[in-house]
Amino acid sequence: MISARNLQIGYQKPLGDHLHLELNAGQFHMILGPNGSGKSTLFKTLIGLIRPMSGQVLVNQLDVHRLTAIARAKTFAYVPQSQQQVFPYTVGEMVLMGRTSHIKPFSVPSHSDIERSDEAMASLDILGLKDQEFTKLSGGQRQLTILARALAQDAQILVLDEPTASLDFGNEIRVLERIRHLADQGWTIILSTHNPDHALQLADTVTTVSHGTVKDHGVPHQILTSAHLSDLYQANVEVVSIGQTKTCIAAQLNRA
Amino acid sequence: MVEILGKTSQSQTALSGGLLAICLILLSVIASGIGQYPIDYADIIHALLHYFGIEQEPPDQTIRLVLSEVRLPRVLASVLVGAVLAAAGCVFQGMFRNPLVSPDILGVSTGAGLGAAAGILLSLSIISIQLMAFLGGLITVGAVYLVASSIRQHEPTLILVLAGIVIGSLAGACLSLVKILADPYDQLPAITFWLLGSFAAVDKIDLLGALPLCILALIPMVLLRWRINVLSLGDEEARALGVNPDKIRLFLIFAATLMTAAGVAIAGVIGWVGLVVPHIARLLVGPNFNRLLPIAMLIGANFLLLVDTIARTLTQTETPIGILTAFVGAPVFVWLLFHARRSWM
Repeated sequence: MISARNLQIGYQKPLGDHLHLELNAGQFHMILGPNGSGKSTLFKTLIGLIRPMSGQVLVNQLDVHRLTAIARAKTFAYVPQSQQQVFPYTVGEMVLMGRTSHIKPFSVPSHSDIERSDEAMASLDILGLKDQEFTKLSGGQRQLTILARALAQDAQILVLDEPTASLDFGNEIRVLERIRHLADQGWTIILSTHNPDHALQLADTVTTVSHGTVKDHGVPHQILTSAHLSDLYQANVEVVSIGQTKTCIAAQLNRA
Repeated sequence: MVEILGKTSQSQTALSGGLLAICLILLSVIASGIGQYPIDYADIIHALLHYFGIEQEPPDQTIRLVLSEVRLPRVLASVLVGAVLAAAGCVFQGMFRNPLVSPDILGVSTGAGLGAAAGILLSLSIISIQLMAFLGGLITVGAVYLVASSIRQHEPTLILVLAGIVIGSLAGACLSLVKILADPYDQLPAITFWLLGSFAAVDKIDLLGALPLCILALIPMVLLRWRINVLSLGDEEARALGVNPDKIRLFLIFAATLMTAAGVAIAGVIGWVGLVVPHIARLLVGPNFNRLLPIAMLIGANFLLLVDTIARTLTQTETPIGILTAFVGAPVFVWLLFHARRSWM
């Protein structure tokens, strides 16, 4: 579905080497890397928000940087890292803004747009928050609102940039459960994270990123080894199995 | 289920809008009656009815003249300028994602003032003065935007306001220069009085000159009302939601500048309306531009009409309106800073 060829990412100067990447439809893909590894840049380049230094990204055989804003919004529903909002829109209005690519420039949301955004809120159990001000919500509720906005967008691919970055433990679990549930329903999802546990426990495929280029790509259980993660994070990391799941621990942090 | 969204806020908007409209009509009739030559309200209504062809009997000649040449142009001008300053304020705040900006803080008013003062200095016609005001406003907002967007490592809200103050005071210095160059007996009093803001000299021709420009600038704001909401989320989100922000933002800033300049060209520099009124409107009906724009325009119109009526009746000599809007606007804004929702800070 998405293929990146000879891609070099960066803002003003290239961050790293040329990279190749193929992501298939109907799967849950994660992009894993430490802070500052360039995963946000890679992410935004893949969905056409940043121009690549060289190479190209194809989505459904089309060059992503030649899509119009509307066509791009119908392909990718992008959930940016949580941002400070200035104006006190309600949750309902925020989610409704996800319908913009289906609304003509001089028009306002129709009844079917309102219905669709209500469905999106209901599917994430936040319909009750509809008339509340977005700016007054907790971090977890905010993230679910933005996720509902992405669902209401009716795009082909959900793109989530560190959706749990600023959440506490409980909210992180709740948001991830929702995302896993969406993946089970057949959504194609690309999610970036710096937490290897997310990839080990949730993803179908994982792409590890460091210094602006792809280190490895494959099934999480196969490529996320203790050695690979230690190298990626420049820290002594150990992958251990607990029952069916694998998790990642810091090898030297235990008290003796 | 469908109707639930915003039903309360929709009826609240209709209610606020209705009340504000009634208030504006009453205020207009009252304002047309008071002044040096008081006119009975029955006579005003009679004259209006005659004008629209409902009443056959013509009104008293003096009443007709005072109304059509003096009072009504002035009432309508303050309504128009109040409405467009509020609309421009809403657009500037949304487009810059910054609730602390307004035509005056961004320096647009001063820039337009500079352009118009230069026009007076060169003894240009009213149309040319309007054009000069527009160019002055546009150059100022362009300079502010350039300075603010080239300084990236600081808090953008603050930088934009500071850039506006800096460029605005530069325009103010140029304005002082124009004053020094102006003829002290003829042009200087005109420039000075007009810089403080006044509807005293407004006539029908001014009004008819400014009205088409204001309507022209209002059209994109009304048409793009939903897109304006999306743009106020920020460039990256707008792009992700399917709106290409670059052109449409510049276009709307252009429209808001045109509106402000048209207002400045007939009434001078009137501060505070564009900053305070959008906040009050947002407190009433929320930030959705669809509802915010009409309510803000009605509040602006009511406010400026009230203040202008006070300005010309309070004392023997007329008080410049810019002084009164500052006396009202500044405390109201401080109150808003203390009490309004924290969210827009």
